Amino acid sequence: MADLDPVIHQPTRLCLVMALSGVETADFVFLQSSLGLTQGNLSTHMARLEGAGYVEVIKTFEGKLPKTRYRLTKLGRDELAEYWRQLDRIRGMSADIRK
Amino acid sequence: MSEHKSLEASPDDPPDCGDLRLLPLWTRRYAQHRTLPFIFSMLVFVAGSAVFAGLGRIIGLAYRSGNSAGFVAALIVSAAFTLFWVWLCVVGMRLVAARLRSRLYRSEGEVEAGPTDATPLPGVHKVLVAIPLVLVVVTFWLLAIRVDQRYMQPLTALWVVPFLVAIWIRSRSNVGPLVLLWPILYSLHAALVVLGAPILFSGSWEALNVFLPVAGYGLLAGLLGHLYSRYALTRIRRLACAAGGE
Repeated sequence: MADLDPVIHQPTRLCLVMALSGVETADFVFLQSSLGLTQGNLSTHMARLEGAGYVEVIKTFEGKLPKTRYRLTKLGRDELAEYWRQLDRIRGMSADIRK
Repeated sequence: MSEHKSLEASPDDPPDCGDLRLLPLWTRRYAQHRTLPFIFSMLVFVAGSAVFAGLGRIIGLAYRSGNSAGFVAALIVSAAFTLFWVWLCVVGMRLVAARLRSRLYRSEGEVEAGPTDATPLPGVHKVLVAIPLVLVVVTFWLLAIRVDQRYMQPLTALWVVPFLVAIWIRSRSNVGPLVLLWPILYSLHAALVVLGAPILFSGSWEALNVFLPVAGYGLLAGLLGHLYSRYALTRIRRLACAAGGE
């Protein structure tokens, strides 16, 4: 468990990264509404993911309204894939112990 | 029994995230089936077709009754509406598309399944695509003069179906395969007509033989896509809820 990426290995951030991995971009409202997060909660977790370089933030304007979209970076995708590989390895070890 | 207890899951075991691996799939499916703007476009198409049909009827009536003023007025209105329609198809809908999408999905936010800046076709490729398309359409109209009106819809299927499939292939990263229901149903309808199924309108309602499959199956595909996006959104919310979080 110590090898698991602590940035990704957090339930909310894992959901965020998994959701972003299926699409090109998603905006703040979609992530908040579909994953049932509060504004502050989402902002905090996205800042952590952005700080780790896993998520790219795209800020635009629609008229006078600011729009924030997110895209999973290549690093983020690679780290997510590595996370699942490690998790599968750990679960395999757990299954072996139970036997 | 205590031995079984010790084999049960403990807090130190890694979480069972089996279902969470489906989250990218359902997010993508949701993004690919947000068809409300398409349904709106189809309804605009239906409304525009109804206006064209109405104007055509008025022109015919005015001409047959010898009403010159009415005939000229109807022609002017038709010409003006045609110009407006061309503008709407080429420019207008693009202007409203993004705004429409934002409004229709305001509470759900924006999500893009694939890259939105589709690589534009080089100029030469555009010509290579346009020439056969124009030839097909012209050939169709020449054949239509000679072909029994009963077979108009099957004849249109020869170019409508490949056209719809080609559009989907080009935009498949952002549009789900459910929309292929449109060309599939259109083809089935054509086959049924050729086989003599009693599904044809006659007399003054003959135009519906082509119009209904075009608009009807398109609207059906759009509606099913919208319903599927509701289901996908429910799956996303369930998966996120099951995964837990703060």
